[in-house]
Amino acid sequence: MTSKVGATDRGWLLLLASWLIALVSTLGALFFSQIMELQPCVLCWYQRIAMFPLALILGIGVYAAEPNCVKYALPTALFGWMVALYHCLLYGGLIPQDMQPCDKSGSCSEQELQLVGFITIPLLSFLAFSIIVLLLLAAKKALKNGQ
Amino acid sequence: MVNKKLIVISCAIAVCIGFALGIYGHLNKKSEQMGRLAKEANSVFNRSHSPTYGSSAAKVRIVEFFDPACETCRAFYPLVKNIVDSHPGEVQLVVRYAPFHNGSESAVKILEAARLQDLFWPVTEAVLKAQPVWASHASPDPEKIWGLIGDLGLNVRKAKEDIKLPEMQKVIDQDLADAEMLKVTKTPGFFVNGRRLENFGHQELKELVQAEVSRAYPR
Repeated sequence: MTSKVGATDRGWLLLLASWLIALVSTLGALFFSQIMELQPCVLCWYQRIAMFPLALILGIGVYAAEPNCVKYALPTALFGWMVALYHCLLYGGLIPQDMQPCDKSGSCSEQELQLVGFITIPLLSFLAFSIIVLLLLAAKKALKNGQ
Repeated sequence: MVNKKLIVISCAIAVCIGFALGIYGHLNKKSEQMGRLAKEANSVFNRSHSPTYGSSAAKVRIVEFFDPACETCRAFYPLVKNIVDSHPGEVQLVVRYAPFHNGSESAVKILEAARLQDLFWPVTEAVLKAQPVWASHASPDPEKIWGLIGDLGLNVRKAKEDIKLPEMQKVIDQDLADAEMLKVTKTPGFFVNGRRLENFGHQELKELVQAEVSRAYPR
């Protein structure tokens, strides 16, 4: 019998992918701060507040094959996505400097790291949140159709 | 369906292994970079203005962030000297100032003034010997040093002029900036060929030096 890659399995695979991105992003953020010793700024922290639990919520959801985890994960991811968008605009100079909520822990508009050319940490964060949101939306749809 | 949990666990393990390799690679690269910097004549580890003890041709360099008012620096002084002496020609000590105590900066300036008269080591020894008198934590008074170092041939009048030189402050500022860069927050802070003495102690320092000597001078 061929394995049933039905709608539910498709949903599960999408969840798995979103969890992996959240996990890699979480570990990546920890790598930047703990190993490379870059001080996270306030906006980075807000994104971390969204990303770290995603690694757990999605991890548990995908392990237990629990479709309901999307309910919790999607708003969390959307919150992180909005902060990341704001941060990218700030980095890109599209939002004026004096609007940034920064303190001594590190300036949010100061570029500490450019990996390859234009790729910055907020951009990586923005990409990660965008992909997670899209995957979760697709998973939600697939899971709904499957049930 | 059965395999889902297995897939999740395998993924988690794979990501963790990747993360560990990343950390390992990064730390390796960093320690190589530090080792290279430590070899340079003028880097965050060794400034050209820093006093040294031992052969300048030595391939192993101990960098000590030193505070003349620090009790442990005082206790380590003969020990470090001994380590250098026990590897003749192979180990050099570079002294960097980290005047974290109150009044230490003035004491450092006296040492630097003595250095201008080629009396750095005898005066340092005398200043450390008299440390309990001039560097009491309650009321440190580095001015007392002048009367405590005895007759070492130091031209005190010239030294008192020299401590006002702006270069003195520059040396201290540079050393403090390097200490901050290297995250030295306590004295004495030791680096051997760019490797930090992680677990503090005399035996640990000896072992770290020995390890670097064995590496630099394979027998």
